Amino acid sequence: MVISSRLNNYRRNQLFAKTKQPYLPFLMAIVFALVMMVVDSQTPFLAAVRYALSVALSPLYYVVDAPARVQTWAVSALRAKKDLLQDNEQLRQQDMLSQAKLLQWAALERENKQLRAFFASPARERTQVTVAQVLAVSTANTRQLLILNKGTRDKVFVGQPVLDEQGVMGQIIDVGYMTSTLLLIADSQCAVPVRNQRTEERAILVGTNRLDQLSLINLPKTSLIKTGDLLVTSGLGRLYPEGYPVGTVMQVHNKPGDAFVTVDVQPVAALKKSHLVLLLWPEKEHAVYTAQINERLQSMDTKV
Amino acid sequence: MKSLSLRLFLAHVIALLMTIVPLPTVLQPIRPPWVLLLLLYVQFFLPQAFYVAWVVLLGFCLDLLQSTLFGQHALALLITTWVASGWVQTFRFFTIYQQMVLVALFGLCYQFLLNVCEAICGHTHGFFWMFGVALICLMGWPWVRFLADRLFIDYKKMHKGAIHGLSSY
Repeated sequence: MVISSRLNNYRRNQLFAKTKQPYLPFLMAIVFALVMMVVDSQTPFLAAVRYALSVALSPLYYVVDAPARVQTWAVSALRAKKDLLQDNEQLRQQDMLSQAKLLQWAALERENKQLRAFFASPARERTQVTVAQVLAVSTANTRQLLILNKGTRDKVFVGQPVLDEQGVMGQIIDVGYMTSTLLLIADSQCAVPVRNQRTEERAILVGTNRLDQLSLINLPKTSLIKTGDLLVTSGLGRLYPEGYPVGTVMQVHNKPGDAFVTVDVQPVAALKKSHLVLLLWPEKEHAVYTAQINERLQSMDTKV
Repeated sequence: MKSLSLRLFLAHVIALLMTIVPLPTVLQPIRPPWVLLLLLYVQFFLPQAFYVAWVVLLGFCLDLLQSTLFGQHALALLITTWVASGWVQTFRFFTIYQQMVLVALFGLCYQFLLNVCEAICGHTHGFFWMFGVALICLMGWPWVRFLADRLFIDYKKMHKGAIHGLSSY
């Protein structure tokens, strides 16, 4: 037994306490936070917790977005009648031109179906598309993320590709009940399999955390790529459907000592200026084909 | 709105809202850490209302709102408030300028921890931006103190108590 020189009522005598707040709650909470970080980064077990919290916090996004919506409404409400009539006329003309293009594409689609039937290839089904609105909220500075106003109640899912009217914007990485998080292709952790429309060469396009520049990596020195080439999605990896424009080549760096060619690419989509985006749903047989492809790849790996 | 708990809860909600309000791109890296400033005020001036579990919950809310790793903001808030807990007894006796410097150091600590977590996750961030955050904390602290004093501390009751205490002699 240790005889202590402290008073028996030391712990109760808080009036002249010289110690800090107790450290044990802080220590336990820090360990808990570290464990949460490891679990969230390595496993999907916290998805349910994130989802539950997002149900409670999603209204905050809408509250912050409200002033931007009010401003947009006020600007449109206060515009002169003459400007509105002019805009209306321009949109009518654009609509007529789009309808004419659609008629052309419908004819091409019919012809494509007939050719596929002739060569006994399966026909491509239409992909379902929904419009979503980008909420005017801010996210982490180190990531290129956007928050959309669609969630699980609108059947949005993780990995869903997102476009704007010009090209590919990114993919959904997190889904809540009312909102979802879009990872832009400009983020350094986003990679898109692309194909050069002119030369049919395949490569991987990665983000550089800059909205106006992406980078093609691991391109061999024998590549025929040049400035102005249009890069479209190649469909490899089964994440992005094939054929959607991603970016145009700005500059090709071919240094003598390097093993690969580095290419600067400008994204086609207006990454942080778009207010409306398009969410794509895959074709009905997409899941079946993806499973068959993965099975075949795994069997090839085991044989090797 | 007489209940202190309700006022504190609403203040924390407003701090979370301020964290996701869009700012011009130039000002984004030096956004004031509103939640940290409010927690520091509560820790120093309303210690009876400071709970570690509440810090953890706020951190998780920040992680979700900012789409970062779950636990990242909670860890930064916890370590910063733990360091600040050593100054709880003496902070309120500092002059406002001393308080501003100390709060700037806490802001620097908080942003440094966030940068380290982001770096471990593979996201780069400008190293010197955290000094901008510290500067913003230094300039913002008097305003936070002024507003929070008006919102949470009932000066009439305090003065009544002081006068009553004096009159009893």
